[in-house]
This record gives sequence, structure tokens and C-alpha cells, in this order.
Amino acid sequence: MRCDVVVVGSGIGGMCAAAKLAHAGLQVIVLEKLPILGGRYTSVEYDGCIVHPASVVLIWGEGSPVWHTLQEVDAPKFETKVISHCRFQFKGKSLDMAMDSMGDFRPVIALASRNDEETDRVLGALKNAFLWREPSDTITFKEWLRQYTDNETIHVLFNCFATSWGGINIHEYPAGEFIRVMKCTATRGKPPIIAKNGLKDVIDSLEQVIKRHKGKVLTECEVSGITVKGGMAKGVVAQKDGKNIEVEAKVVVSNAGPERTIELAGRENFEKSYLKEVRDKIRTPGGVEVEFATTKPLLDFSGWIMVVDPQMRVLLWCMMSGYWENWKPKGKHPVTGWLVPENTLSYDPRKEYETLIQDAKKFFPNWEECEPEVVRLKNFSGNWPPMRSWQGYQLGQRTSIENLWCVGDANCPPGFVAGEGAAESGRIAAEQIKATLV
Amino acid sequence: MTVSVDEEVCIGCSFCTLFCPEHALEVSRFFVAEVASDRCTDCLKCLNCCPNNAIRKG
Repeated sequence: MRCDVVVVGSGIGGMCAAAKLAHAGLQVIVLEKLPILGGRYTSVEYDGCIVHPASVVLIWGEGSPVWHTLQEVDAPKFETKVISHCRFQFKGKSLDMAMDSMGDFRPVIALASRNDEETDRVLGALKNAFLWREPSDTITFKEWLRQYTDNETIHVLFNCFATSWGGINIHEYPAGEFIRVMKCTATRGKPPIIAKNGLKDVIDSLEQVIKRHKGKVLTECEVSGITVKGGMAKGVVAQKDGKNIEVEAKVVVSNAGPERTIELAGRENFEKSYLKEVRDKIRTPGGVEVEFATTKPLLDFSGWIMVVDPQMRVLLWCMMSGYWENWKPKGKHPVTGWLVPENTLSYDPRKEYETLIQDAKKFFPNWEECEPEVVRLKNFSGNWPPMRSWQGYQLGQRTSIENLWCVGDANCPPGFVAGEGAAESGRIAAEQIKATLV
Repeated sequence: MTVSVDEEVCIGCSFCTLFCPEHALEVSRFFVAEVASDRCTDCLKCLNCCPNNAIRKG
């Protein structure tokens, strides 16, 4: 087979790049190892219910890279709803915040503070960091925050944001990058969108764009090598139904992660500083998510609950049953806990799971009464991580091979997280590839 | 039963469980996928669905 651009892997980064390039008139082929498209950015219908194989926290909204891509390629529309509120649950008090006012931190910081002077001090420091000078990435956000307050509740509040917007803790998050993420993600002023069938609707829509423009999308097709000759990528070798396929291409876009991409193309073909950068920068975190179903709703609330309580380890509970009926397992009420280990680089998922169960019992007073059943345990690590690399430890989209690009959540531009960052990396690569090929 | 899970490689992500028509795959609290031999019909649909290539034939 021959094409302009071959895309290895169909995560949201690869699919955004592929859809944009196909829409620009280029011949595109996408090869995916798994039976469905999207990688971690997907949802599956299982037992008549929408299941999120990766995180239910993966979101997008108006003005975000996924949203921009869908507009730019004139993607088919699908049914969506917006998440209007999220809840901050403190010990004995709570605050429901409208998602479109997420950039206004005053009410929630005021609830976490001991007095007005502390609120003003923290808000003043944030304002300075947003508008005057970003802190550098040489200290962590926790070290930065400690200059202004040692109030544990405020630290936990920011850890709620950090673990939901990047899957790592504030003592791991580079300070500058955390500020950029808050600026870019929290203060966009648009509520998040969830589609009826989950992230699958986004991926299906992009797939239709690729096919509409005569592109090919193959699943259960594992790429075993990227062919490099004379310092340039020439295409890929893959296996489909037990047969070898060779695809010749002018440009190769890899959505397989930088480390796997180096293996596929051969270490000897890369420039030394690129290999060193990948080795030094990539830090892959891990985390545990547990999905439960209860016979009665645990709370009269649908959406995300951020747990701002130093006694709790689970900082985020998701209860989405009020949004879409088809997200309910067996007609019951789904609730998901997301637990980020204190050290995301080294942890035992079995211990994190025990902690998560204990927290559930402490957090929901009616836990036993609602007859919770564990529906699914999910550990994210290694090649199936919450993020391919810590925020602030990501790479650009260019490899040292001139026509080989890397997109995905190890290649998020500064300030972008998770699926949004992966999508943005795909958009950036696609724009630059278009400039050379169209 | 002709499939097995490499416990050293499996991380317990539960992705494979979504592709087994017989519900024979389950991730336990030890975070390893287990195949229930009485339910597995050897359809091999799970073979290509592990992100970490931990599911093997035989």
C-alpha cells in the first residue's frame, strides 16, 4: 500500500492528526493494534452499558483542542450534554461550582482558608503567577504553594486539581507547568462536554471524516517496524490477519509513545540527543480507578466530587448516572473512585485498592446501605498509563528523523493535559505536515 | 481453554474483560486478569485486545 501519511496507533492524538490531514486532501492510513479505535481515549458498549476503558475523567469542551479539531474537519455531529457543576466536598461543608466559572478560585479557596488574609495571600500569589511571572519548573507546585501557606486543606484542594488534570500530585507537578495548566484548562470558561456514548462518539466521528476523504483505518493491525532509509522514514511494516503488510508513506506519524516509536524505527536511526531526551524526560505515572454500582444513588448529585479533606486519599469521585441513562450498569447507579498514589512512579495497586475501599466507606455515610458492588478494577501504568509522561516532562512532536512525528500524551504542548494535550499534539503535527505536503 | 495471561506482563487494566462474550475474563483484587476455564469457549477474541500483549495462546 502507498499513501501520503501513515499513522501508527489511533489514540486521540493520531486520530486528530489523521482527520486533519485527510480533510486537507492527503491520502491517510491509520493502523491500530487493538480491535477498537481510540486507545485509552474511547468507550465500549458492554452488557448494554457504556463503559470507559480508561478514565471517566477524560473530558473536552468548547474551545478545547478536540472541539477545535471536530470543527476544523467538519466532523459529523453527535448527541452531547454539558456538565454544569462540580462539587467540592470539605469536612462538613460543600460548594457546588458552575464549571464555566472554574477560573474564579476565590469561593473555593475561601472555604479552604483559615481566614480572609490567607485567602487573599494565596489568590494574590496565583494572580502574580498567572499575569506577571510564571514560576519556573525547577520547583514543584507544592514547594511554590508552601511559600504562601502551610494550610493542609489548601494543599489538598490544589492536589484535587493536579490529580484530576494530569494524574500526578502537587509534590510531583512542576510549578510553572501547573500554573500553565490552570490558565489553559481551568480558566477557559466553558463547561466540559460528555457525549451520549462517551469518547467513542468523538473517535467514530473522526473516523468518518478520514473515510469520507478516502482514508483507510485498520484495526487489529499491529505495526512491527517503521522503515528508515537514508535518515528518512519510508513507511511501516505491519501484520493483519497473520499476513505482512507494507505501507509506503511520505510521512509517518506515531501515536505509539516515544519509547515504542524508537524501538519500531530502530535506536541506531536516531540522533543521540533525542534518545537522551526521551530517556531523561519520560516519567510514566500510574493510578488506580475502581468502578462500583449501587442499588440506590449514594448522593442526590451527578458529576464530579473533589474531596478536599486531608484525611482522605481518594480525591475524586465521579457519579455520572444523572447524565446518560445508558451509562448505568444493569440499571444501577455507577460511581467511580480515582486514586493517585503518593508516589506515582512506584506503588502497589493492591494497597491503593484497599485504601480506596476504606475511603468509600468513610466518605459515603450510606455506603453499605446502597449495596455497592465492584464492577471493574482498573490499574493504569506502563503501556496503559493515565498519562504517558508527567506534566512538564513531555516532548515536542518532532523526532530527530525529519519526517517521523510523535503525537500523544507524551507530546502535549505546555499547559495541555491528557486527551486534550494529545489532541493538541496531533493538531500541531498535522498543521506542520500540511505545510510541507500540501 | 487455550489462552493464558502472562501475570508478569498483565497490569490489571480490565480492557480485555470488555471483549469476552462469555464474561470469562475478570481482573481480581490482585490486579491480574484471570480466565474462568469453565466459561472460556476458545473463541480467541481476547488475543488481540491486550494493550500490553499479556494474553497468549496456549
